[in-house]
Formats: sequence, C-alpha cells, structure tokens
Amino acid sequence: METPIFLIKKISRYAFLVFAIISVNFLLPRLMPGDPLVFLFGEEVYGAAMRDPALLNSLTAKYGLDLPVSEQFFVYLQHLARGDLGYSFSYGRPISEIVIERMQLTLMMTVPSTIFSLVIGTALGLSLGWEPGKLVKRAVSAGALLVHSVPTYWLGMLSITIFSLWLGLTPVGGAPPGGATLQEYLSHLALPMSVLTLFNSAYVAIMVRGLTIEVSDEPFVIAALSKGLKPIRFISRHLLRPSLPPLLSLIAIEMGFAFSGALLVEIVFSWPGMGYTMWQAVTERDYPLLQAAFTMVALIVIGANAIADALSYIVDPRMRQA
Amino acid sequence: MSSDMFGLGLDRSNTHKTLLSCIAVTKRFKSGKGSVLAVDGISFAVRNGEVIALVGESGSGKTTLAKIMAALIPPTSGDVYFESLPLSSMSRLDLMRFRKRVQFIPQFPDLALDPTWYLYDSIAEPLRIHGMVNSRAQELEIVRNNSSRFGLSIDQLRRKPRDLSGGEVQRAVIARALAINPDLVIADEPTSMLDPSTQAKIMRQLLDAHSERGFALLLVTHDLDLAKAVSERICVMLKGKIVEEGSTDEIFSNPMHPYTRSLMRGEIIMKEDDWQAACPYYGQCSDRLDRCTSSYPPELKICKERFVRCWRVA
Amino acid sequence: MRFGYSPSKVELLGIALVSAVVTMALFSYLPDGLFGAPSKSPYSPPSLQNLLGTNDIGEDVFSVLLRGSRVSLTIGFLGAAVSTLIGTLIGIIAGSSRGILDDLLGSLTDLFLVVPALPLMIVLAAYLGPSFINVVAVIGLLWWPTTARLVRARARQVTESLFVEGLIGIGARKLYIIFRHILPNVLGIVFARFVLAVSSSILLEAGLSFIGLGDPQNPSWGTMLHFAMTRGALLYGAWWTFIPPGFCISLTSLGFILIGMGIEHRISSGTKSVGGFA
Ligand SMILES: Nc1ncnc2c1ncn2[C@@H]1O[C@H](COP(=O)(O)OP(=O)(O)OP(=O)(O)O)[C@@H](O)[C@H]1O
Ligand SMILES: [Mg+2]
Repeated sequence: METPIFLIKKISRYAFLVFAIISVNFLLPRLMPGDPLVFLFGEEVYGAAMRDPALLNSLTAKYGLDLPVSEQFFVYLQHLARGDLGYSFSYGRPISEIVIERMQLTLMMTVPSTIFSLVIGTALGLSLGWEPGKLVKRAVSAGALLVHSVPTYWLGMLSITIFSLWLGLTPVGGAPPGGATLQEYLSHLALPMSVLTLFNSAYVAIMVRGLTIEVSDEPFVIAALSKGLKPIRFISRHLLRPSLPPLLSLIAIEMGFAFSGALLVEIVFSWPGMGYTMWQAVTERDYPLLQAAFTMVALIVIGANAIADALSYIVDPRMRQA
Repeated sequence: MSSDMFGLGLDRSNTHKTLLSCIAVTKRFKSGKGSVLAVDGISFAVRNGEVIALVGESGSGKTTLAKIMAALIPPTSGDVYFESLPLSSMSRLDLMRFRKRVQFIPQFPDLALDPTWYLYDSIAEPLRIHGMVNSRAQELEIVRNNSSRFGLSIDQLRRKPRDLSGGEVQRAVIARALAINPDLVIADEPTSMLDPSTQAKIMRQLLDAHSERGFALLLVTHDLDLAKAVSERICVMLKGKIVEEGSTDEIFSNPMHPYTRSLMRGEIIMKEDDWQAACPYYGQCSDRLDRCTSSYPPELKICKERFVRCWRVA
Repeated sequence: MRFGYSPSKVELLGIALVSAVVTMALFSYLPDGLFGAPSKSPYSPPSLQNLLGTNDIGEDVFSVLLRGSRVSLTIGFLGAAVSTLIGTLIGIIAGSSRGILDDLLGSLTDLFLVVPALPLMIVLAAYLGPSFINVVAVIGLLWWPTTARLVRARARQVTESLFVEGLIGIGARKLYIIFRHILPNVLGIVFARFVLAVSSSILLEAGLSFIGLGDPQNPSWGTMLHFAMTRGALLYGAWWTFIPPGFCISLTSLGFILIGMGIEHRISSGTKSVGGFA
C-alpha cells in the first residue's frame, strides 16, 4: 500500500530534477551578464548575425526571442521535444547529432571503467578494511588516498609521456577512424581507461574500506567474531548485505565522479567524447554546444542515480517504507 | 524510614492556592504503525509552595506528564493552566513569564547541558535570557551561591560537562533551575541515575532550598520511600492514569488501590499481559472483580482531596 | 585530548605537506628572478640557471610554480570558505527545523548532490568568463551540498538531544538556540569539512584552469598544465613544465585530505583511536 506512494515520490523527484536542469539551461544564457544572444548563438554566429540583419531576424524568429520569456520557454521546450538542440557553428552540424555520437564514445570509456573500478575497488577496500592496522595495508591505503588526490588529466599526461612518447607502446591520442577493429579501439582506449580505472578504484577502495572498518567496529560484530565467525561469513552477512544499498548509491555517485574524471581525461588523450567536446566548445565559445553537452552528461548521471535507486529498492524491501 | 527523614518539619496543614493544574490531559505518541497512549485523561493540580510526588513504575507516563506540565511537549488533548491561564492560548510574553517561573529538571543528566559550554555559562544562561542580572559581578554572585549550595566548586564551574561526573552535572542542572528563583520546580527523577548516598545528599540540598525559598516542587519518582519522606501529597500513576491521589499520611496509612499496595510492598514488576480488561492492573490484581474487565472505575472521592479508581473500593 | 591537542601521524604528514606549500607561497613574494632568470630559449631543460627549466615562452618554471602556489592556495581557501559557509547555513537551518523548511532545503541539497558538479562549473565559468572571482564563486556556489548534508544530519542529532529541550525550558528562542548552541556543536564537522573542501577546491580550480577557464592574469598550477597541454610541451616532451605543477596539486590536495580525515576521525571516535589511518 505504501509502495506506490514511495515510488511516486521518487519518480516525481527525478522528474523534477530533469525539469530543473532544463529550466536552468533555458535561464542561464538569459540571466548571465552580457548579451544573451552571444550565449544563445555562440560567438561566431553572433558575430555574423550582427553583420547580417537577415540572419539575425531568422534566428530571432527561430528561438522566438521577440516573445515574452514564458513563451520563449515554450518554444524552447518544443525544440527540445523535437530533439532540436540547435546548430553548432564550430562543427557545422546539428548539435543533437554531435552529442549523441560523442556520448557513445564517452560511455565506451566510462562504463567498462566504472565496472572495473567497482570490482577492483570493492575487493581492495574490503581487504584494506579488514584488520586495517597492518603496516602493508596502511601503506596501500595511503597510496589509494594519494592516487585519489592526483588529477586524472595529469596522470594522463604522465602516462602519455611514458607509454606513448618514451616507450612507444600506444598511440598518443585520438579515436580510431570509423570502421576500426576492436584491437585498434583497445590500443587507443588502453591508457585513458587505465588512468580512469586507477583513479576510480582508489576512490571506491577508500569508501569501502571506511564502511568495512565502521561495521567491524560494531559491538555485535566484535562479539560474533570472537565467537569464531569466519571472515568470509562476516563479509557476506554483516557487510555486503546491509551495506548493499549504501554501496549502490555509492556506485551512482561514483558514476558522477567517473564522468567528471573522464571529461578531463578525454581532453588529454584527444578522445572525442563529451569532455573533449565541452573543452572545444569552451575554446570556441560555442555556448549552445557546451550547454547541450552538459545536459547530456547531467541526464546520464541522473539516470545512473535512478537505476541505483531502483536497484536498492529491489534489493532492500525496507527501503520501501522510507 | 521516618516520614520526616530530612527533618524539615514541613507544614502540611496549610492549604495553598493552585499554581499549576492540568485538566483532562491526554498524550498519544505515534510509534511505527500504532500509537501509545502515554497520558490518558489526567487532571490534577500543584499548589503554591507544596511538595507533591508523582509515583509510578517505569513506563507509566510520568515523564510525559511532567513535560506536558512544563510546556515542553504539547498535549494531544486537554490543557495545562498556570495561575488559571491556559498554556494553549498564552502569548509569547506570557509563555516567557511561565518559563521564568516554572523550571524543569530532566531525568538524565548526561546530555542535559550543552557539551560545548562551560558549566558556569550554562548555569548563568537562564539569568541572561530573562535579563535578571545587570552586571557580571551580580551574575557571578548568584551563580556561585546556587552552585556552592549544591557542592560545586569554582574549579568545577570552569569545566565542560564531559569533564565532570554525572552527579556533578546533575547538581549543575539543579543549580541552573534554581538560579532564576522559580515558583515551581518540576523534577523528573532528579537523582535516579546516581548512587544512593549522592542521591540523599542532592535531595536534601534540593529540599533545603525548597524550605528556604518556598517554591513548589513536583517530584517525579518511582521511589515510594522518597515520596513518603519528602512530599505532602502523592499521586500514583498507572499506565497513563492517576489511580490514587491523597495526602502522604493517608496514602501510607490506608492505601486503597491494590496497585499502590503492591508498590509499597516493593512488587513493582508489571508484566505485559494479554488481558483486554478495562483496568490495566487486572492481570496482576489479587482483588479483581468481573466488572473490572468491562469498565474502568471512575474517580471515587473518599474524602477531601482523596481519590481512588478501583471497583473494590466502590 | 583533554589535556590539549596532539596531532596523529596522519595529521602530522598532512600538516607537513601543507606547510611546505605555504612556504612556497611565501617564497613567491621574494623579488622576481631570484630563483632563476627568464631565459631566451623556450623549453630549455632543467639546469643550474633554471632549476626546473623554462616553459614555452622562456619563463623560469620554478618561479611560475611558486607564483602558482599562491593562486592555487588562495582560491582553494576562498572557494572552501564560501562553500562551507553556504553548506553550514543551509545544513544548520534544515537540521534544526521541521516541516517545510527542512523538506525544502533537504530536497535542494539532494538535487544538487545528484547534478554532476564539475560539468556545471565548466558551463557557469564559461558564461561568466575567466577571472579569479568567478572561479571562486563557481566553486563556492556549487560545492556546498556535501557539507550541507553532513551538517544537517549532525544539527538534527543535536536538535533532538536533551539539552535543547532544556533550553526551551529556560525560555531560549529558536534563533538563539541555533546560533549559540547548535552551531558550536556542529563546528567540529564544519571545520573538518572546510579542510576537506580546501582540498577539493584546489583540485576543482586546477581542473577549471586546465580547461582554460582560469584567470589568465593569475596563472595557477592548473594554468601551467593547460599551457603544457595546449602549447605543445606534452608532445615536445618538456616534462619539466608539467610534472612539477601536477606534483604540487596532488601533494597539496593530499595534505589537506589527511588533515581533514584526521579531524573527522577525532570527532567520530572521541578519544579512542580505532585502527584506521590515525
Ligand atoms: N517520544 C515518544 N515517542 C513514542 N513513545 C513515547 C515517547 N515518549 C514516551 N513514549 C512512551 O510513552 C510511555 C510513557 O513514557 P514515559 O517516559 O512518560 O514513562 P515514565 O513513567 O517516565 O518511565 P520511567 O520511570 O522509565 O522514566 C512509554 O510507553 C514510552 O514508550
Ligand atoms: Mg521518566
């Protein structure tokens, strides 16, 4: 009986979040200091429109810029519903095409990397959190912290220097041309994915380690262990089961981090995903493209959160009353 | 124990004006899916300057009632009257006046004071809030007087709660309540967390202050001996209701409710029972009647200021 | 604990790292050219004249690094201060209220937690244009949700503790209770969060500057990486231009993380020392 209310609450929350992102997207260019037209058209088109009244008129009509703001929002929503995100002058293509194409490249890197880092990080975190006082484990934990403090893009620069320039093992950057083999893809992805996975595993390991220490400090666990509970049983019964929901939300947050990290790593490796696109948009002042890229990233991260929520809902029925 | 163990020579013949009263007060707590009726239609009054004890076993609703009387939690129904002014319709100013004149001492001293504040400041705080001191010197004077009366040294006042024992913190809580010279002190088992000798000492100091300043004291306790020793009147609570009320002498010389009698014998183990009887004591009662299952006995007036709720007596 | 503050090994390491960076920042105020004069040749490798070599326009990398430490630290502190202030205010108000206010602020915090912060910062900074103040504002305005959530949880705990009821009993007003009693009780967490936020701010600033959204007038370590990336140092193999700034970013951020974790640990475990990092 309580389940539908809970579900409706959750769903409406995500719906609101998506709506909020869309509204912010609509409002930002209009509220920022400066001429909103620059932000709406991108710098180059703005320059052209200023010289060519006919172009300015057609653009104004397209975005409904002569209408009151509330109606502009309506026009904006209509465009969005049609999948029309505007036109990128720097690429000379419709933005929706660019964004969809590049999102695939980003996902190609982040999804496997996220899965790897969850597996590696969880295993590492569990073992580090178990009897954490040992010298080796403390050293590894400190190492994980250090890795977590290192900017991913810098790690990328180091690895390019070592593996591409000095050792000549991998291509310096870029994506393979269309129709490339899996092997070619792998050779391009090996370095950025390793960097990303290293960084994210360190983060997951730190979190899981903390969780493990916390749970193994609980009086009932200490009592159970002193009575001879086996570590494996402890991990499955006392650690994994109760901490699955927090672990799932951790995964969701981790996806967010992985994305942020990936955005910057892409730039270093010239991997033409969302991060690289955002970077180019910033450099070219192609604001519509920048905004569309941000929206896509935000939507994916929100989607990851929603999936994590749904999973913890399935895993842990107690959540349904919350 | 003699009834005048503290040797106060309390004047018990004096009848006083009503200070704080509650009428038909009920409190229902929601817990999970169901709810608990912690206080079930209680009416009683505290008079100026008297010591009145509220006794009952654990879970009978004493703390809840005491907090309602101190305006710390709102009743579900019914109202509390302070000098015949209802709490529910008090203005901000009236409520402030009420807070200045009625003080509550909580049951657990551990967390009763802000852990980040020095004891001195905590004790001085009500004085500052009510603007009762004009100078630091005056404040120091009052705080020191009230603390030393409860055996707190200046050195202890310079510490924070975690650097003091539970007993010392409880002394500070009492000193704070008394610092602003209230007309009524509601003390919720002020000594129950302490060892017996400290208990007796603190109680004695509290009663000394009472006889010196003449504030009324509503003492919540599960210790009948203590109630007998210090109070003029006693209310016996059972499952959210007052089942017997009367002067201490009368209750002890002639306890009428079987629950009161078992409390006096020290058998205060209340088992959860499955009886769906109207009287909550039915399961344990040695004198039960058939009608106890169907209807709850009304308040039977025995004589002036003496009530009992038991079909046996009727 | 009772008898004063004695830092753990972890905190000591953190303090050592942070002190080193602060010393760097102080050295940057010494006259220009003291550590190595600009050279005519760009990308000259480390030598006795230029300890860390020169960059694409022949500047002494070591001098640029020193000046960068000043910028990174300042933005780190300011960004952390703004975000901690916002997070504390929102958290404390939400945690000590009930009903709509708590719901509203709580949902706002949750919403912001889900939106990926760095991409949003990139968009905002791109609109606002690269400047020192804008970088601080963007970090400060978007990095508060974690702090708000933690402060809210702690404030809620304090609000429900017995002594607050006692304060109501002696006639204390709500705002008085919030600022005089709840605030001091959440200050430990706020301080730990602030130190951790400095670490995040430094990393975020570096990220924004790396993308090219940093203040060109005040080049930071991130700006150095940006130029190394965009002006060919990476492909030229001039490792001395980008290894030192990355090293500094990592160690500074680690230093603040260590101190922050030490404080968090202290708060959560009181005086006992669990076998963690401490
Ligand atoms: N905040 C609350 N929420 C739900 N139930 C409550 C709450 N406070 C008290 N109760 C319930 O109300 C009943 C009476 O509690 P109360 O604390 O008033 O008892 P008491 O007589 O003071 O007991 P003790 O002698 O142990 O202090 C108990 O059953 C308790 O579980
Ligand atoms: Mg009680």
